[in-house]
Amino acid sequence: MTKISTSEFQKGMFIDYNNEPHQITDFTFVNPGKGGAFVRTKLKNLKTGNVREFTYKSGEKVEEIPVVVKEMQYLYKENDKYNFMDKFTYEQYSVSKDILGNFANYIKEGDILQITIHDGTPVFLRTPKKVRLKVIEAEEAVKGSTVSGAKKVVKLETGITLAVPIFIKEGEMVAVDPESGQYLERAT
Amino acid sequence: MRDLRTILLYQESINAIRKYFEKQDYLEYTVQILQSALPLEPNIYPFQTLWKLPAKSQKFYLSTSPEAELKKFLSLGVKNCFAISKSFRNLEGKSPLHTPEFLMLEWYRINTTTEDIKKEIKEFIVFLKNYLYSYKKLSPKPTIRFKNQLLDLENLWPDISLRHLFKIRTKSDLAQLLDDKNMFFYAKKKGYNIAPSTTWDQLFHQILLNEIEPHLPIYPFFLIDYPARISPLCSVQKTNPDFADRFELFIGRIEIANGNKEETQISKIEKSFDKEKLHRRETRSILPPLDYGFLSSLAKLKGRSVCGVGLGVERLFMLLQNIKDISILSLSTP
Repeated sequence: MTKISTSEFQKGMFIDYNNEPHQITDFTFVNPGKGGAFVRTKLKNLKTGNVREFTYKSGEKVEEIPVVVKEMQYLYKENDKYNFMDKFTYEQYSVSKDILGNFANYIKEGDILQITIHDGTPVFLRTPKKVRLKVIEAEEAVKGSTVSGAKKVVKLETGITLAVPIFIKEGEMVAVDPESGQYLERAT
Repeated sequence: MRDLRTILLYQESINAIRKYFEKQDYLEYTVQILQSALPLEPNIYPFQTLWKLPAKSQKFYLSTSPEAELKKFLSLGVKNCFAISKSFRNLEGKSPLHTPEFLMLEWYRINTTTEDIKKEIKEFIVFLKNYLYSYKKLSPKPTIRFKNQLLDLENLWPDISLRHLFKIRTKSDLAQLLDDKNMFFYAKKKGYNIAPSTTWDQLFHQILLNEIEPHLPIYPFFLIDYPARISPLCSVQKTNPDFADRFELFIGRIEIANGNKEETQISKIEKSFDKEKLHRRETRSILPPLDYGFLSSLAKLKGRSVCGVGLGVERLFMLLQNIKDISILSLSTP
């Protein structure tokens, strides 16, 4: 394993904390009054999913956990497991719903995503900033409804509902930010 | 998002601070930013710059706090004084609450105690809260909203002892941990990483940040009983010289101000400066020339009971206006 200094910390990095693999989900610098420099981190335990805070001395060395990032294709869902296939080796991996989080509402068969593997187990999925999804149910806008910013609720191909501008029609594609769940634009 | 309304309100709060201290008969002093020498306080590192002339050049350091200049001002016979001054700290990371350049309000009173000055801080912060409510044409309320919490600023601001917090949160006696050996033993047992360069004060603050700070109350309070060994410019407590006559004001779990009775025995301060000089030489850190003018001003204040407070202006304004990121207060953030 490689030792890294707190100055090399980045969001999303994997480190050892208390002999367990953790992901740095956030970090900030803190300087207590008359004290030295410290780095406060939010750490997600890869085994339990628990999140905790820990403050390191600035410059403290921690062990970086070796991980592999693989491009994988989403195949199908089975109970609470999402099955993916390595695009190059065709190996299959089962990813738990905890790792997908809210993104489970936006995933569809055939999607290619980046999944981080530690010790043979998927531990993290990089959520794309934008996903394109088809509108499968939408009511026709009422003629004459020209109020600026007016919205209606439509159903997307993954089954989730979304508030979109009234000009969006059934069968059209829309771009959504999967993190905030907000409509971004009409997609082509 | 930066907006003109917030920036104007922030500028107005600086005017209000000035009005408050002038009304209390404080004299304002404008601190010189370029300094050729500084007091050597642990963990405070200056930015350095070069004054170039055709024939020579001279190193200057940006002021890290108004403290040295205000103490020189006091030593000239001034009774009570204050400064609202840009301060610069090197080797400190940027965060939503802090930037390397920040605005510091510092004030000093002669013939007073830390108890009196605590009352004054509360009076000042309540004044500023009410001033901003009135300026926004709202009727002043005792409460403010900060990060989805309602904080009552007009209720009691109690003292909370660090020794007590160490006892309930870490089951250890802070008085025992003041000894290097005990602290290193305890920190190792708790799983903290100890490198050859790790110092006592790093471990003290790391324990404070990990085990005590997350459990601090959100209401305003004064954290007291700071170890004297990390408070070199503070006078010690009469009844227990291992602890400083110092407090930190926390509101909404944020450190807003640091206050203390000033140490005027220069032999003690010289000793701490020598230790710091050695530490900086060993670690090859920025080592500005020692400000002897600061030491002689302290000698002139010997025997007087001087108390002072340093307060982050941006931070206080952010608290009163429920602002989460300091960067919206300036038009060009480094």
